[in-house]
Amino acid sequence: METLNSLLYGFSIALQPNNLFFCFVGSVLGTLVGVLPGLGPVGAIAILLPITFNISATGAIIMLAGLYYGAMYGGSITSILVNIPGEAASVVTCMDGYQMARKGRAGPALGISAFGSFIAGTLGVVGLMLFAVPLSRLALKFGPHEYFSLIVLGLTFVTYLAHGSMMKSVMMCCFGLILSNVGLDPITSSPRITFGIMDLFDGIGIAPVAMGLFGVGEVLVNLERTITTEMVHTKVRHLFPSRLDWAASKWALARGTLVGFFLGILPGGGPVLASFLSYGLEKRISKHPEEFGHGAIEGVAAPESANNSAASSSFIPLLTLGIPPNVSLSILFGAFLIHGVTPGPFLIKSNPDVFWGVLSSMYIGNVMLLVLNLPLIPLWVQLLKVSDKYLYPLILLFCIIGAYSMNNAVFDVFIMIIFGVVGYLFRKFEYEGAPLILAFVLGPLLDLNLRQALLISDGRFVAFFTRPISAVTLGLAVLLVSTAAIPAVMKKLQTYKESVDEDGP
Amino acid sequence: MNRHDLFSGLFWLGISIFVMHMAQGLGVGVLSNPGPGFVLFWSGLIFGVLSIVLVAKALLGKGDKRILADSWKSLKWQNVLVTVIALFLYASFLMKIGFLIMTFALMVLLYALGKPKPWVTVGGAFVTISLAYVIFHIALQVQLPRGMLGW
Repeated sequence: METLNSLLYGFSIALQPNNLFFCFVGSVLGTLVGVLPGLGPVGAIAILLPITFNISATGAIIMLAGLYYGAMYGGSITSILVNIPGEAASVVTCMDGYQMARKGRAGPALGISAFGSFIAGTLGVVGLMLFAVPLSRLALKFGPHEYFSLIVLGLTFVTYLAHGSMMKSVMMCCFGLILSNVGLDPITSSPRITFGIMDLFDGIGIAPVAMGLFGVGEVLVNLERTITTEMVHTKVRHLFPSRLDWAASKWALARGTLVGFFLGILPGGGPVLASFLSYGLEKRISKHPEEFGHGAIEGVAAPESANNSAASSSFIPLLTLGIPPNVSLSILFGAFLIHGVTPGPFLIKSNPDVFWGVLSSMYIGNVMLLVLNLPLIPLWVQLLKVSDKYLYPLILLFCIIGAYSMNNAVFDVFIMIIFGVVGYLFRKFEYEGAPLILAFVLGPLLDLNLRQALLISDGRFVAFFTRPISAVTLGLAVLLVSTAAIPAVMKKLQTYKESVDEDGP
Repeated sequence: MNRHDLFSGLFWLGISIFVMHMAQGLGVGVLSNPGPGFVLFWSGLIFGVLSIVLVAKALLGKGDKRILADSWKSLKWQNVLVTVIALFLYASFLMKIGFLIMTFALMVLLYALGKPKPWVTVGGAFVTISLAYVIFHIALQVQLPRGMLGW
């Protein structure tokens, strides 16, 4: 009953005309970002963050959250029609979505993707509503030891799930932690790595770094390439899936929603991992796995429901523990702080308008996305034809204005350009920006909690393992590292054994 | 030998040594009383050790024979170079010359990279900065640098 009352209170905030407008703008922009390949939700949230300065905290978070989950809807459109994922969580949708389009079934593919996204996204919000309150009560019992261990687990997950070398990901985590140390020390207030530059006393801003790595860096990489897209020339019709399509995909939708929900909660998890795992699960348990990759509708329904469900549930650790589980939400975490709201166990009590307002807006946003997306698909298709040579200068301009308006300082523009070059070089030298950003955002929390924990426990590191929650969390992190390291060590031993056998007497 | 990993590893190693040196200057402290440089030092140390491993793997590795230039082969890297230089010049003179003139010049250059007709380049740049000015400065009240002309 208490939850229902709070939800009604949330709707009274989310349904205010200005908040409805921000929800609409966020959802539409999110879809646009998802549709356009090259600019993901991370860069878009970072770019749009400064324009939210003149609006209320609730309105700003409603808009940026809408952008995040809206991108999950939009990403599938390019995956299905052009075979280019609009954003990372829709990569796997290409496999069957594009094949369906080639067979003249673009309509049902887009339809099941939109309906699946709506159902899973809405159920994800229901889960968020039910889990968030008890979890934030539990989080009140968390001390520095538990927070430190959770942050370590989050960083371990991000490195574990890295696309490339795990070692390079760990290095990027370390680099992110180093960068997060720039500025005044949170305990002693002594300046760290500031070189006497006043602009660095407040630390390096998350927005210029993220805009540089994911916005400018992406543009620079694309400027040197000639991208050719092969659009399927078919009429998009029959957007409402048939009864057969529903029958084939209903369990895939259900499983995708569940998988996505639980993977979204995990620190370091999120929509990308959820979409891949749910696709793999569907293929494994399917009675006709050979159809996957050739236009199976379950291959669209499962990942699309999983990434939307995960997008909703990933708000749980952010809102209840104050720990962003993935890179997009780490930028959103920065947005909360900039607007003077601290996400975490006290959020529900200290800012109920933000918490319940944002949560309720997610129900509305999902409905808006469904209503808007299906009729607007022809418009999104037209947008795909906008040439990159007009798009990239615009992205750069948004980045520049965004970086400058953070503090009305050209210093932030320089930071953004420098990280743009860094992002470009990262792609050339095969480093990933995601672990860096997550470590950069979590760095101050890690620093503070680690030092507080060590002070409390008089320098005994074993204290991290004597507290149950901390011990379990760190145990999970160790387990993850082991599962990654053991196969590699075994392979090396095998190779060594074989070489010894060959050279033997 | 993987030259990408070799050179990047050496670069990171240099960074890590510098960071550890800075951390010691700040005060690493002890476990029972960690100082401001505590996390910095340990992050730098792990970073450094991993950089050494990366360099060693690059030196000992036999499979990857790529050279640095391979990453830029048959790509229009000149576009990137021009854009980066333009962006740095833009940021350097933004406060002195002002948002409108500098952004117009930058947009002309960026649109010109796509090699459209000259009137499209100039017209596109003009429309872009006009819209940007109306949306950001007038509607959203973002304070953009006025520069020497005062507008």
